[in-house]
Amino acid sequence: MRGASITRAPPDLLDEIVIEILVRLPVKSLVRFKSVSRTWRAIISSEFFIRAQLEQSSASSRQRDPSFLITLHALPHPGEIWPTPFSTHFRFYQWRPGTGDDDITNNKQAAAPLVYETDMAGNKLISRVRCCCIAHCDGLVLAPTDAKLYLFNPATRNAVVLPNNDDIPPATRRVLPLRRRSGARSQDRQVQGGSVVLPVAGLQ
Amino acid sequence: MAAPESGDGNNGAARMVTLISSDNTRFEVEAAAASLSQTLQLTILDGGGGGGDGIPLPNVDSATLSKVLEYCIKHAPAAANGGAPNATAVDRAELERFDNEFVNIDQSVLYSLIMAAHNLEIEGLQSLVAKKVADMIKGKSPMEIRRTLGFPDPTPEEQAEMNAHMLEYGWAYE
Repeated sequence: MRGASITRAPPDLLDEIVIEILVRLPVKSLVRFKSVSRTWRAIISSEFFIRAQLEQSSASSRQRDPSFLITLHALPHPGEIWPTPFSTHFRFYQWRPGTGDDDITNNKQAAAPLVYETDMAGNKLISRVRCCCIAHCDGLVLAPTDAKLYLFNPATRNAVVLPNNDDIPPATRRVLPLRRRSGARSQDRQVQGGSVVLPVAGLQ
Repeated sequence: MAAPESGDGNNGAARMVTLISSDNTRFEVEAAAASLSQTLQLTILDGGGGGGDGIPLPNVDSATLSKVLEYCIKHAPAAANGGAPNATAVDRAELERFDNEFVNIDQSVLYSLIMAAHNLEIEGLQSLVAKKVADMIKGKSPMEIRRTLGFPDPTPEEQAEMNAHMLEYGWAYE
């Protein structure tokens, strides 16, 4: 980037090119590059950029680099169905089909490396609290229980407990049909051993 | 607006246009290839660039322009088919192989290319080069990026911000 032509470029064009490059980077690089300069931070944090990056990464993920987000959920009894007892310890793994075998033999890497884990409240299996169903959209994961709503962004390692509205009785709370809107519902599947596999668009 | 001259009288003889680089080198190329540039497309549709006229490109030097045209010539047939519904998997694989090799070049050439692709608005080339640069920089540290871009050394205040960011988001630096 020492080339003379880049310093001669008008600033508008430079910004445009910087955005075009940044938009193709994975989230982890983007988090790191927020510290390159204040301009870069402003670009990467902007609403416009976040949307563009999501669009770009979902498109390229659909085309050639699909990956799945896996979260473990221990089902105490075979054949158990939702809602189930709920652990506040969440782990998210990322799996890219086709890369796993090679990684294991050559690089001694996990087939599905851990992306993010968090404990929302002391790692206890709270048997009375039940997790209703896990929903996801654009790389966000929503875990509703009959006590609280947990929202995760595994790519940016953010987790929030959504504000609880105690005025609404638990039985009447409903989770918005995020999955249907993401259009990825048919890819959802539950694999043996009780893991839930979610397709993930862009991890943003 | 004049209609594009279909076939130039003789069946199969493709219409040619002339492009002139910033250092005054003339490039003669098929109109279909040059039309991959949104910037040139209208001029060419209007009948420009033919004969002895030539279209001057004051922002693109000859080394860069010849590289750009190499891309356009290779991609023109597929573009003419409108995304090429009849393109075979072999054709697509061949284009992909060409693209990979095409951007396997020196950094400084890449940056001239991305500027030219923007100036000429050649969408496919813009994203091809942007993807390549993204792949090249994705593992770098913020300091490495600053140095590569020729940013001045961070002020003590900026340095403190960078250190704080690294502490807070250690996982992104692993």
